[in-house]
Amino acid sequence: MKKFLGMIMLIAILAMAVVTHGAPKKVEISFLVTKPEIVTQFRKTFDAYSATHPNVTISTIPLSGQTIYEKLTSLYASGNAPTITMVGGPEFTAFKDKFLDVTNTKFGKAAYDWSVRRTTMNGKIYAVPTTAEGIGIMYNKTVIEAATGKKFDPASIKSRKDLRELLQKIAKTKYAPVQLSNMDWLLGSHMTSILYAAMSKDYDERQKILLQCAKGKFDFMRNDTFNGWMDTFDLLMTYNMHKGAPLGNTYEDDQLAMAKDKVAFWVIGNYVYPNIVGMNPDAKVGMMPYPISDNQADYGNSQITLTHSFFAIDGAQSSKSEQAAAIDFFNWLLTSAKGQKHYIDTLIFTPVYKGFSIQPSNPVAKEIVSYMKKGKTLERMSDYFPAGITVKFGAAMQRYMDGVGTRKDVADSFKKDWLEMSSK
Amino acid sequence: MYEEKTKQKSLGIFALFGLLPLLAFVIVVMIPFISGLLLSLTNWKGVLDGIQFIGLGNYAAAIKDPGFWASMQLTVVYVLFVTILTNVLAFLLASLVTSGFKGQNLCRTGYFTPNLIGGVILGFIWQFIFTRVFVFIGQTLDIGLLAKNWLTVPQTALWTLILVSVWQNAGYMMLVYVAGLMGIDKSLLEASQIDGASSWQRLLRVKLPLMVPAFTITLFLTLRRAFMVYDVNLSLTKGGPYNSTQLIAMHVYNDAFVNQNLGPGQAKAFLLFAIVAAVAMLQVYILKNKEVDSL
Repeated sequence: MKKFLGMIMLIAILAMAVVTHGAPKKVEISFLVTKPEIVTQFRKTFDAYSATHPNVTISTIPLSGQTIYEKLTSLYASGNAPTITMVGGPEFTAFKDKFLDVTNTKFGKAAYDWSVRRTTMNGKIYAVPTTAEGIGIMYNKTVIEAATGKKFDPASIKSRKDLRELLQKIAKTKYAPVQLSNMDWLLGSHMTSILYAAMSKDYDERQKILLQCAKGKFDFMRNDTFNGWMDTFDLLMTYNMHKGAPLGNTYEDDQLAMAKDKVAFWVIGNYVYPNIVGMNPDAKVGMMPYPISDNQADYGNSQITLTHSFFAIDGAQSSKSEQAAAIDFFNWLLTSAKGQKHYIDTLIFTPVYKGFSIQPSNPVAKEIVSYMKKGKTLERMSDYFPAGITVKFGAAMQRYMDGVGTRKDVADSFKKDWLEMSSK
Repeated sequence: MYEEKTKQKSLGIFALFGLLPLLAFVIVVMIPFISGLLLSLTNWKGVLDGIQFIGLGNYAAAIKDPGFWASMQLTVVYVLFVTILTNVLAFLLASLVTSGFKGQNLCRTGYFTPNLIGGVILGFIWQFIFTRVFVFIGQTLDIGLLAKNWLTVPQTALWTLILVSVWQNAGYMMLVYVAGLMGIDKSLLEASQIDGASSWQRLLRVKLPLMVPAFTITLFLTLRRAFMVYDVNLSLTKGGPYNSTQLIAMHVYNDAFVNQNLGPGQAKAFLLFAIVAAVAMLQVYILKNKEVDSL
């Protein structure tokens, strides 16, 4: 009897060995999608990949209302790190030691050098960009043309002077010239990015400025860029349609006003474009730079802020085969014709990669691409900010909008916030 | 009552009834509590490698943070008003729905309903009311107080929080008071009436002293709920405008997860726990001494 059982065991083991050797091993990888708006689009993309790569399944982990940092902290602490993660600048800093070096992958080489500078350490790339987004002033062509009776070319706004003249004209009509949103992420992160990026053309110089800020030694009130940036903000506040109650309007109100052709200009990013065309498919909106001076030659007046989050692969807790599957997925998504099609059409992303065979067709994405091609972009500086500081910047700007703070108060609180948040 | 002869047998009985709840208590309350306490003494950054014991450094950082005390001060104001207003309103409602008018049971259900709605949803409903309904009424009827969105002015934003919390909690506390009022011996009330006590005297001299146990419970519950409030704070004001309504629970959360200061954040959470526990125990101790017996 014992011998018989032994035989069966042996056969079973042999059979298993044959089976596992014959069929390719199933790999399951996980993907932390940190943009809740496009989880379904990601799922569709994963399904398309799995259709041609049946041995790999990709499961999505939703953010479910938590912050990226919070989610990653708990996932890493419990040993369940996602194979692939989408992170922003501050999260990258916190978790960079865990990410896989992707310098020598096909997709890693396809990324533009300037786009991976933030995620390069000792010459090695640890994360690649997701999609290009532009931050600046959104214009509504329909409104501007109806108000002025002339064709509108965004390139004609070369400085704050040009913008002021146009705003004055529109203010005399029934259309609202400007709306200012009051969300702290817009005021404190997206808008301040413009400020710090416009301070210098040079990457190292900008880093030096941030270092000075962190030590509390940067004098905002004596800085031309800060004053120019605030002057433009003052101009926008003067013509703000919500001037009476500047903190009263909601993000949804603002989207609706832009989509329904009620307002000409709005400081925002093109990430809101899908919502605008969702409400009004005929909306003719586009992006232009946020001017910081009256002199059109000044740096920042003809550049748009380019921003993107990052894809990173876990290098600490995932197995070799999981890492290989993740690399293969990105090679497919970013360098194969089929993957690129899903990148553009399903995810509606704007590539930050060389060698894309197709380009996005929506007009705003096209504009962003043309700014990118001309090299007229500002760096997304908030990626380098210490965690939590953007909320403080946002609060200072909200106070200013509400009329409880002066320009000096803004400068003082920026200085104080830098010192406080950098020392932790 | 119990017939177990040997120690082993009584242990067996305990295991049968008490072991599972004890185990659950240890796993979901005691272990996280202790590990949390231990983590607050380290430089934990979210991952366990490179973790170091740093003693009371996090507590020193927490105490030195002016933002912590600013939030605490704001929370004390909030707690004070919520506790007083909730209990006054709840007691009035309870008196109303035990006075014996027609349809009082329907009213009881109605007043209790807000308590069944989750704080987050409640916050969004009231956000709509403050942002749209009030502003609309204020502008159409030209009432200055309502014309501006209350959520966007620091002073009124705190009051929106108080208002919504009172509205949410009063119904629940009303139920406790109803039970307290129903529990008063009718013969005592009749006796006082025969002795010529006015209804005001009856309330002050008979009903209130006999209802101290109910006050012990409701005050404890309102205090605890008010100190720990987060959901309404998040969905209604999100701490704004410009961080003027960041109550203590939100401050602790933001410091830990938004500012990525897990250590000091954890220390603040324990300071908050200590403060709330002290206040609650003091309150229960004082009221327990005031309890009287009807005999």
